[in-house]
Amino acid sequence: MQISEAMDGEVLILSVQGRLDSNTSKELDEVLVQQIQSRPAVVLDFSSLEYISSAGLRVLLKAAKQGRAGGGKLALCCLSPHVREVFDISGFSSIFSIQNDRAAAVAAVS
Amino acid sequence: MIATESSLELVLRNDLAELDRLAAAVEDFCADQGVPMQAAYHLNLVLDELVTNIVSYGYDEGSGEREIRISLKREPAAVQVGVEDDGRPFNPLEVAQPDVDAPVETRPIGGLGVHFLRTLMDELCYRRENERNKLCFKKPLPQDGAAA
Repeated sequence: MQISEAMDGEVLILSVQGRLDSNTSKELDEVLVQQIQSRPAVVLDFSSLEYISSAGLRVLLKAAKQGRAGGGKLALCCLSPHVREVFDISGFSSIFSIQNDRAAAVAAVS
Repeated sequence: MIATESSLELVLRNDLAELDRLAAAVEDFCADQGVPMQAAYHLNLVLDELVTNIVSYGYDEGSGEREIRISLKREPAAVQVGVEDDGRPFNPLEVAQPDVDAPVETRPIGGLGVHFLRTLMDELCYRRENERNKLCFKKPLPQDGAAA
């Protein structure tokens, strides 16, 4: 898994590439915990995310809880149909702002 | 790893690093056997969750290297799966369903792996035999004429 960072105005964009499973989720957890506290808004761009398991969902849930408590906004974008299905089955689609493209996700947290 | 015409047997160590090997083997098997991509993805997800559970919770600290056995068999209208380990007894069929409608604040953090198993697979069976957990299930495959 690879995580790359970019800025769009005040919004931090984190692009996650590869597989987000119990083996790799810790890495994203470390980045997210730190960034969601220090930034007003974070967008996770999943256009290159091939796979997500419940371990990945767990990291996102933790970030969402942290964001709500601290006022940081979080949105996701660009989920592949496979990844989107995992969100749907687990009921996670209803607890995140999920947008079709990056611009919409940036707008959602701005 | 032994791959015959229509079956695969895979022995994994109790180590999360084995997940990459598991994913690659399942993907290759499904591609060889003409299993549609969505079904292959479901198999991968459920096996990942089960192996993660076994590696994370199945053994006592310092119990050394153990084996988890995965078998996949292509049938005309399904893939039959078996998962076997010698960890502590765990029957996923008895786990309570997580509340997938709970709001963020009270959303439970565990139980999703078993939820995926129940949602995405059919004909689940479990038995504890010779100090081993033996879980089996099926992934039905879309047939010609049915929606993919």
